[in-house]
Amino acid sequence: MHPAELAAFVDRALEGLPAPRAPRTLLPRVLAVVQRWKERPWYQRSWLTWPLGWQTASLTAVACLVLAAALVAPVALEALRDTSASVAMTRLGQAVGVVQEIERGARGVEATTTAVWTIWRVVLLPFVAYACGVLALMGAACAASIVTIKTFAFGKAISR
Amino acid sequence: MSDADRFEAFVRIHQDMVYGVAVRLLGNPAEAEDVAQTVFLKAFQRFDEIGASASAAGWLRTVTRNACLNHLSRYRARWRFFSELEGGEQSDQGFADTLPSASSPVLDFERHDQRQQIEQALRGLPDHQRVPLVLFHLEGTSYQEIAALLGISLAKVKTDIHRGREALRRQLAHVHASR
Repeated sequence: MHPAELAAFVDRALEGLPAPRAPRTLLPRVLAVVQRWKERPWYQRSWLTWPLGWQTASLTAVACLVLAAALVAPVALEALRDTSASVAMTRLGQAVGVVQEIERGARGVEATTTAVWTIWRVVLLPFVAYACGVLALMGAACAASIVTIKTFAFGKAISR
Repeated sequence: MSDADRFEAFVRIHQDMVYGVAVRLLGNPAEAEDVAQTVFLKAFQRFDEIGASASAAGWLRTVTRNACLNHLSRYRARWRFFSELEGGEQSDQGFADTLPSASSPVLDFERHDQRQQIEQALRGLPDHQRVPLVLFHLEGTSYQEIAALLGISLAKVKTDIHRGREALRRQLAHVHASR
């Protein structure tokens, strides 16, 4: 059979096929699973189904956590620098008799740490703080956009 | 009318369509019922938006189709293996032989009307032929869209649809010949 004839044959065979009837068990099953879903507390459901207020609050909390971590990190770095790795290594070197080489290494570590700290404080910290602020605003904007789209997109379909 | 009553009415209106799409794509009534249940649960979670929307039917059809394809994707490796076997024509011929004969007590085609016979023949096709065939002929999906949905090449879509049509034609001819 020619492919075009075959396609036409199948089209005729399938055309006008009525939709198979759903079994009588489907509706009770759907209602039962919906009831079970409704009985779950909201926080056990998917985040996308949370009330909008809780979605916004959780996004804001995450953004604040990121911002707090960005602010605490410099303090931790400063504490690490002040620990004076060279002192510890010098003591260790004296204990095993290789003071000079260890001191040289410690100075290198201190120089590296100072360089990293300087780069963080001068270049990255202002950017990170700004980025975290932007992130928090974006989270709030996303939540507002979702509400607007839901209201206007589906609201338009209903009003047709 | 309470929300529960509204949702029940919503399910009654659309259940045949949702189940029909699922059973034709999956070829298995039990799995189709599971998928339909999942689809309506999703619909309930968004009922405020789609309950009274004119696009509810389209939304349900799309979600059902995607749910069926996700369900089938678990078997996609086996699907591709069988569809790419050399001598694909042999596998198509073998398909017709594996179906119960018209005189089988389990499946008595002589007592079904023609539409049911076509429905049964369609469900009896292997997944890699039935799914593209249903998407093309019954869901109005283009070859390109089918290729994108199934993650296969356009040539493969055309080959599988052609083989599905051949297998369907042979099965329907087999049924009519055995009457």
